[in-house]
Parts: sequence; C-alpha cells; structure tokens
Amino acid sequence: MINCVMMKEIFDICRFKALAWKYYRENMKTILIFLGVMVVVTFMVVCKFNPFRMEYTSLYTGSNYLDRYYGMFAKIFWGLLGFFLLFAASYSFADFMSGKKSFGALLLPASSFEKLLLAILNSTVVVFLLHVAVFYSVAHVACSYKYTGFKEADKIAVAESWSGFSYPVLTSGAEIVHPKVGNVFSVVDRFSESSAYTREVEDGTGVRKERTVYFTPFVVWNLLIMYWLYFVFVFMWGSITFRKRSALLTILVHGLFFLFLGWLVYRVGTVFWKIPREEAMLYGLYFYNTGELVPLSASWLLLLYIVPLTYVGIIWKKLKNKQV
Amino acid sequence: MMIRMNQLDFSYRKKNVFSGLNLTLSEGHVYGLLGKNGAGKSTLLKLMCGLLFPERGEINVMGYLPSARKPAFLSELFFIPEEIYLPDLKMSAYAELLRPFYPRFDRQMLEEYMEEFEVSLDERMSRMSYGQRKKALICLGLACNTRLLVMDEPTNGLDIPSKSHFRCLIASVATKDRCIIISTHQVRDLDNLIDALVVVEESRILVNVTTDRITEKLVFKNLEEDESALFAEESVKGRWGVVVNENGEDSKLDMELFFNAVLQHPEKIRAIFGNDKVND
Amino acid sequence: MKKYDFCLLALYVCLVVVFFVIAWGYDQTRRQERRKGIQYFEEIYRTPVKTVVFQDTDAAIVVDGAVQNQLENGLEFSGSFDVRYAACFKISGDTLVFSGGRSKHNGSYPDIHNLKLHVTRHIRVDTINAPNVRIERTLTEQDGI
Repeated sequence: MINCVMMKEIFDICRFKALAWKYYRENMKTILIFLGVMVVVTFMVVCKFNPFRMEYTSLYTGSNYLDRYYGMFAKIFWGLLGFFLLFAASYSFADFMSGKKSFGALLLPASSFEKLLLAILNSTVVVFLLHVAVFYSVAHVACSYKYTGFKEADKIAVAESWSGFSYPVLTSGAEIVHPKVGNVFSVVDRFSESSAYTREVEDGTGVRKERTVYFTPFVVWNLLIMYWLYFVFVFMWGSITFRKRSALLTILVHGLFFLFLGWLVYRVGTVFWKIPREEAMLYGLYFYNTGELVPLSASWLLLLYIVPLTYVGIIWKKLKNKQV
Repeated sequence: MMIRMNQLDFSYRKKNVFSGLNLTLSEGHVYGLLGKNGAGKSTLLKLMCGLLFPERGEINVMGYLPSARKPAFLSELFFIPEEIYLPDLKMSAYAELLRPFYPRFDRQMLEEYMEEFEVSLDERMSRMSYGQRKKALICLGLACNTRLLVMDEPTNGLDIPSKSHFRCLIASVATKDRCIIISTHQVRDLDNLIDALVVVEESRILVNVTTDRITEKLVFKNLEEDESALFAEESVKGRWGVVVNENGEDSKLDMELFFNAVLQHPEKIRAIFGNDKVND
Repeated sequence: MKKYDFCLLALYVCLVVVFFVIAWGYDQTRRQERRKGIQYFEEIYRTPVKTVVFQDTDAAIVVDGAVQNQLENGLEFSGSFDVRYAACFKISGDTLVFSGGRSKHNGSYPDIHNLKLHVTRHIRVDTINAPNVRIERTLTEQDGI
C-alpha cells in the first residue's frame, strides 16, 4: 500500500482505508470469534424460540401461520441485533483504554475523526451486515428438513428439521412447505400502516373521510435508525468513559439518572397537573377529554437526532482529549 | 528547535510532577534522559508525544502542539514505550499495515535492522519473547524514519549483544535533522550512544548539556585520598570521582558518576554549566 | 466523567422541559375544552326539561331513576363523560335531545360508555335508533312503563 499523504487533518480516504485495514487485520481473530459467537447464539435462540411450533399453525389455531412466524422471526432478528450492537459498542474504544494498546492507538497517524468514524462503522454498519448474513444463513439452515414422519396421536403429517424443529405439513399429503424466513424489515411498513387513521373532514362539498398515515415509512426508518444509534452511542460513550466493566457502568449511570429524572418529572408533573375539582366534575359527572389531538407532524420527532449526535460529539471530544 | 517547553506545570491527581519546567531540545542529537525513580522521565516523554496534556505552560514539538495529535505531527513521531504491545501478526505483515502512515518508512532498512538483531520477520510476534518483541519494535521505529524518535527504557529486556547492536544502530540513524530521545535507568547502556544529557529531578530540569561540554567542564579520574570531588566512589581501582576540569584535561565521560554528582550537588552543577543548552 | 458529560445532562433536562412545554400547551387546550363542556352542562341543568330523547346514536347510556333530585330541572348525569361529545346534547324547547356520539375513529366500540342519566318520574324518556341506551327497571317500575 502506498504511503498516504498527511496533509489533510480531519479526513483522508487513503488514510481511513489504511486505518480500517490495519484494524481488521490486527483484530481478525477477535472478529472471527465474535462471528462464531453470533452464529452459535443466533442458532440457539432460533431453536429455543422455535417459531415452527404446532400451536402457531393454522391446523391448531386457525390463525395465519405465516404471519405468526414472520412476527417471531422479526422479534428474534431485532432482539439479537440489539444485543450484538451493544456488545460491539461497549468494546469499541477498548484499545484506547487499555494501558499498553492505548499508546499505539492514540499515536497512530490518523485523525481522531477517522478513528471515531471507524469505531462507529464497526459498531453499527459492520455488525448489522454481519448479523443479517448470519441470521438469514442460520435460519435457512435451521429450517432445512431431514425427514418426515407422522405424529401418531394426532394423525398429522409432521416434518422434522435436523435442528430439532418439528412442524406440521401445511398441505395434507406428501408435499411439505418449507417455512420461509420472511422479510424482517417489513416491520417498518407494518408499523407505518398501523399508524394510519381516518378522520372525518368537513370541506365545501360536505363531510368526507380522509386517511392519514401518521408515521410514514421514511419517518419510521429514521426513528428505527435513531433508536439504535442512540443505544449504540450510549454504550460507545461508556466504552470511552470507563476503563473496566464499561457496559455495566453505562447501564448503571444511565439507569440511575433516568430513575432520578423520572421521579423529578413525576413530582413536578403531579404539582403542575393537579386538576381542580371544579374543572373536572360537575356534581356527579366526571369530565375527561380524549379528544383528537391535532397532532404535530411525526417528522418533528426527527429532531431527536440531536440526542445521538450529542453523544457522538462528546465521544469525539473525549477521544481528542484522551490521555494515557 | 525540535522541542520547546515553557513554564510547564503538570501533576497527577494531587501529586505535583513538574512546576515551571523549561526545556529545549534540538534536532541532530541523541539525548539521554536521566532521573531517579518517580522523577517524571516517562511523564516528560508522554508530554512531548501528546499522550499527556500540561495544566499550564506550552509545548511545541516540530512546530506542532502535541496535544492536538494531528496526523502530520504523529507521522513524524515514533514512540517506543516501556510496556510494549504488538499484535499477533508477523512483523512483515505488521510493517505493511503501518507503512501508509509513515511517509519515510523504509522496508529495506527494516529488514537490515531485523537481521542485525537476529529477529525473524516471518515469525508471529505473539510467539516471540519480550526481548525479541522489543527488538522488533525498535527496528520498526527506526525504519519509520521519523524526525522524532522517543524511547522509554528501550534496553530493558535486551541481552548484552543486543544492547551493543542497539548502540550501533542508533549511531547509524542519528542524522542532523533527526532527534532521538532515550530515557533509561541503565546509564551504562547510554555509553557511546548519546551526545547530550538531560537530567530531571524534583519537577525541574537540572541539566541539559552535550557530552562534549561535560568533558570540557568536568574531568572523570582517579582521585587522591584527600582530593575533594563533586562525587566520588570507591572502586577496585581506587577512588574514582568527578571534579571541575580546571586544567583542560581530557577524560571519558562516566555517566553514572556525572548523574550522581548532579543529584548530590545540583546547584554547583548548574553554576558550572550556567545557562548551557544543547544548541546547534 | 468529565465536565462535558454534563452536556448530556443538560440535553436530557432540555428535552424534558420541551416535553413539559408541549404537554402544558396541550393540557391548556384540553382544560379549555373541558371548561366549555362543563359550562354547557351547567346550561342544561338550568333549563327545565320535560322530555329526553336519545336518537340515532350507538352511545351506551344508562337511564335510571333519580335517587335524590337536587337539581331543579329533574335530571342529573353521573359517571364519566368525554367532553368532546357535549354538543351531542341539544335543548329544543323543553326537550333534551341526544344524537350522534358515534366515534369518529376506527374504534369498534362507542366512546360514550360510562354515562348515567338519573331522571325524576315527571320526565319522559324516548329512544329512537339508540340500541345501546338502556333504561333501568327502577325507572320502569316508578313510571309504570
């Protein structure tokens, strides 16, 4: 690899590529172990929460079989993703915090922005891509069947997967329909659809029904990304703040803080929102108001990006000011 | 001026390490940094490299502020700490990973140095002994050809032949645009290696002077029994000490004696060398 | 933890403050609407009523005999009531008409489900296309209905 020119202070693509390549080569063993753990944990969780249980099938419940296990797969996918993301994030700055490694990490001729960007990419994009690959591979493999048999007591044709799932044959007879691993990202569209509501709107021509989707797919995607980025950055903040047991201390510090904040909100809220009796009751009748909120556009929620971005700013500042 | 420190204050928690420290180091020299345990040698090196930030005062290294840790600055600096870390790779592979970051990295020189130290380029560094890893890192540091090379206890863990190789290598790479700073307790390892000495004690620089200047102002010799000296010790060959060189005698610098003399009579030494600084 | 960690603290506090301000704004609007609803009912109580008609509504309202008639016009409401449906009650002469009250959302149950009307025997109660209005037995016995 050619030498990278050191003139650009904040970001240089050549230098960043060299930094990334160095990181992956040096930590190849750790990455492979992490990948192995991902495969094993994913397999164990998919098996434990066997979405192919008899009771999920239309033969037993009359419900939509496919819908049920797609939902389970989505839950497993997103749950495991969260676990792996936070695990990776809590080790993202381990090199900068360990005594011996920190010299090399801090004095490597790359800008702190590049080092931060690499840590962010490793804790988000890389883990996400690995997880998608591992999840779908493991789920497909776990779904592959070995042989068929009959569940004598119920006289239902059963197919058994080599990994221990047994699921009923969806069509009677010999044909076995493989349960397919669905599109776990369809949760976005489903959530978006579920936020639709119909209002009666009066205009010049009379009353008509108007259907509004409160959370558009764009907003849902952004909220989803923002949600995950928030937790990843919280744990990255912990990784660069605490030398040891960073994940535990991060949870402790944030947990205690939110408990305190929640208590404060409750105390202040109950004072502020004490409704005088005469505003709520008239003789024996209690009045409440669940009227339609004229909702602010859900796009306003995207302003909450300021929270994860603040964490990034603080992490960057800490990295720049890191001393050994 | 390679390194300039002005009125530097630094402390660890409540322990004051430096107070109003001033130091100037120039390129074209190999500096030996001496001091007692806890005097602040490693701290001083870390301040130069930007691993620690001063509380007050200013540091200028090669025209950069070390604490900013700019890539251009870091590419001209190689620091070999006392406790080293090398990844589980072969040195040949690791060198290729580092090459893009150091513009003047020379693969040929690395191979030569590794051969000199008898360390294999193709052995995984995790399987090497501590001494071998240290040698490997020293070779890497030298091959990067940075303008500033800082080493903290580089000869720790090196066997006697390797120390000799180390001295030869340092001598061969010392050029007039380069500054090499070696901090060590092993004073004897600095023999014939350094050409300037910096002694740090009690949060200040006691002396910063070339070896030539030392031998110009002081003489190291066998002393008579009643002869007064800045520092003397009994040895097999008699009473060996250091005195002021009033007669312009030639002598070989005994760094250990000089160091002890500095610690015992700092004010006398400062008076002898006055405001001498190592300058070109 | 360094001093710029307190920026995070400040950020969370700011978010809570913003949330409070928005919630306060909503609450003020709700309080206003609630006050209007209460005034509307006070007006109903001041008006002498001889007939109560429930028509074209799927609201679940229970009509009962008045235990104690403390009010001049002979009727009294109890339970809980969503104030946005106050305008469903309309006075026309000496007749109180309740119509509408159908939920405007996609919900499958009527929003008015915990309202009780207590009437004295001289008030007549009629229902037209109001399948969920329930007239209790006590009233039937009292009025011989």
